[in-house]
Amino acid sequence: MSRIAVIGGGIAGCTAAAELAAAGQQILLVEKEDSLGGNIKNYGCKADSLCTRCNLCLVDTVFNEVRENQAVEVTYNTTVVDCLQEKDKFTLITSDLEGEKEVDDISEVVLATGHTRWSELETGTPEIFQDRRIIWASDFEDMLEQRQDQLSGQSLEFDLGFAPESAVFLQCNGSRSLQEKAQYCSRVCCGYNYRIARVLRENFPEMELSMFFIDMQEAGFLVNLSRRDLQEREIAYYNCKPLRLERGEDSLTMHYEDQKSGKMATIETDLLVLSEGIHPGPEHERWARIFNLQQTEDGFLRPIWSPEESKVYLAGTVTSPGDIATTIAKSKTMAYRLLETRQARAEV
Amino acid sequence: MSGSIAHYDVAYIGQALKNNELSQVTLPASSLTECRGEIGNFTLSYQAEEELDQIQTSNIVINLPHQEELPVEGCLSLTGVGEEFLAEADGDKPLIIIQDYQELSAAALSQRGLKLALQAKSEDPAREVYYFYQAMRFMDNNDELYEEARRQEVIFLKHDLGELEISQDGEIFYSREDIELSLSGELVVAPELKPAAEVDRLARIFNITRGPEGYLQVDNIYLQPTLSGKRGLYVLGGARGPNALTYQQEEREYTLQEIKRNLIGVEELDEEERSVDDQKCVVCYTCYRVCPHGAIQRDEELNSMQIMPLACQSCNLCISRCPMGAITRSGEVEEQPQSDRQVIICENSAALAREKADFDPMAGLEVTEVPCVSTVKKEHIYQRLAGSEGDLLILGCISEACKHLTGHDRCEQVVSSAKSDLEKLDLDPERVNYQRLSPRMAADLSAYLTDWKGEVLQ
Repeated sequence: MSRIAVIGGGIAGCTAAAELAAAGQQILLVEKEDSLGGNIKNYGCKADSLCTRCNLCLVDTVFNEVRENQAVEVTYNTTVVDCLQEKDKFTLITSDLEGEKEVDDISEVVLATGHTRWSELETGTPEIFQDRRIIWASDFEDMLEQRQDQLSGQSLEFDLGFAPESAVFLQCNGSRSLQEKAQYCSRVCCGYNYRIARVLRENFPEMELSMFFIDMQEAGFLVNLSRRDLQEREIAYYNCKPLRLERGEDSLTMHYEDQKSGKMATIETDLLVLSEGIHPGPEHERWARIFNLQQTEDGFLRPIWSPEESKVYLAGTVTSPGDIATTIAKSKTMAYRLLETRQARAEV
Repeated sequence: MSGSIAHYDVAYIGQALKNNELSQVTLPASSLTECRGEIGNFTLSYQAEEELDQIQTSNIVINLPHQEELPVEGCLSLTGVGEEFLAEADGDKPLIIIQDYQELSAAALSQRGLKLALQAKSEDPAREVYYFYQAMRFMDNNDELYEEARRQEVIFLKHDLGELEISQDGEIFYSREDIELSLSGELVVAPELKPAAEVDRLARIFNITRGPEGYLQVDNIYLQPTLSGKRGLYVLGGARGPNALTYQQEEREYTLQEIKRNLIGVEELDEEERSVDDQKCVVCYTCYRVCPHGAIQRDEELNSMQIMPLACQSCNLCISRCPMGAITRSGEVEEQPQSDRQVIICENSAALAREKADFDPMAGLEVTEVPCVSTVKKEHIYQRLAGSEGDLLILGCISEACKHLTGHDRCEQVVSSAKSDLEKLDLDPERVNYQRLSPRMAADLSAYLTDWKGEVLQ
């Protein structure tokens, strides 16, 4: 029986693989790292005393399904370097620790290699590599994950090397800026940083928290991120992007333009948490070449032919930024479309 | 039922989605009177002209517009103005679009506002267009529209709470920094979105549990993105929630694909069978009311309640609630654990959290895994307490992660009722405990268990 190749073992790829395997298909899942999970692997539960609906609860089940289903063969440490198409079949050239290999008899390809985080691009914000008081939002996620999804009010000194008494969140970092190579809004950052701020508020009620927004976005379904909500939680709101960062010995100083008075103002903080925009994956150019796809102006992938014709299905954040729930939904949609086309072809 | 009733793949309550492959029917929400059956075979009764009519359908989609409330009296609504409004406009009067007056608007309204501003500029490039907003919300290609509108010289003015005022006669006052403006012109304001009309009736007809503000979707991550608590029933737009428009394209596509997959075949969610003993059932409708999935209906012929196997999501709430004990499930075994510390855990949360933990936090405890803690009845609790000297801890889910929607609440009620019974009998109510956690909370799980063990040892 020919197999469906799913490239990428993150939440998008695993959702597709689980859905297809449940429908009786044989799957080859190609993962470039040594474990499943992709970007989501190091995310932590961001509940305060209540669930903040980050949807992370959905993912463990999906990964377990993939691990347990015999119909899914997962090859780790493996990348796809080329693809040959003959008649109705694909042959993938893969590369793993032992060298290159040919995998033939592939009927369809699901491409789900996800996105790159702004922090992984090693550009912009050079200060972050020198100063422990500036962290990425994903560093915070790692921290939560390592603490098994909760801080329990215990000092951050253990993770950061110091215990901050204040924190500033900087939104639209790596998004909506030509210099940062992403003119679009990544649409997820407001949500996750707001949740992190809530976690800090819950665990450290004394902490001073502030957020800089350009435009506050919806933070996902049924999450009431609004100015009023921030006020209730005593999170200060700044309607601008700070202009300059000064690193003093005792604290970081952010210079910004106060919108009301039109004058420059400053705010001091112990900890700066940077949001990270979602950027196109590093392999997108290669995928465009070997699977005959287009890249959008922003670098994400777009099909030239419909997947029903090309048999290459795009799932998850390869096409555009998205949160966990949207990624799962989009990925399931692709899996269903694939099954439907198979069914139709079988009937003919 | 006769075979002459038409059967469709999908019935739309409200607006239909574009699709050529599925056989479909559209019914107005106001005409609907009853829904029977389950996924694959729903029967809908509705008022057609003079008489009642029926159709059968495999899936149902409720797609109704939000109700709208204007924050300012007497102005035009952003969602209500069409092209003729611009064509007839007086070019000397500026067009004033207000996207966020009190509350921030959803991204879909940003899109409407931007499109309207661009249309007005293409109709008459000389016309002044003012756009007041607090935050530009992004979806689809809003960012491109926004850039384009800036190039077309739409005047964007960002404001904070209190900086913008609209007087009774529609005049605008805006002041900040070096700008002081008072304006009058054609005023178009974004409305606040409220649940669709008829959601009350529809919730009753379909017997589904509702979420915040009365929308037809419960606040529960497992229903993402468009499923209602009832299998085969999907909710969109004003039936689903306040931000349901942001990913509407993706959600529509998902819903259609999900329906197509349902048509290939739907299976029961577990292998156990639940049945109502028609001799014991007194048709009190308790099970009907407690079922969060609308999986129970009355069997007219037997005059008994009936559980629909495909709709049932195996939470067993009905079993624990039935006053006559008329509902049973196959494979039910009475266990008699003898350890002095017993834990009952939900397989959807505590069991997953246990797997995640580095070392087994439940080592040495008598653990029973259940599909949902709502299966725990008072009798079970007494049995366990009587069978040993030790304590009992029950671990359910936080509400947003409860696969059975209200199972966690039910268990909490059962536990507190058992506690008060114990108190009345002069026994120690602290012997039984209840905690909630999410599947991710491995550390919490360990903490609960440590606390609890500590107490027991004292």
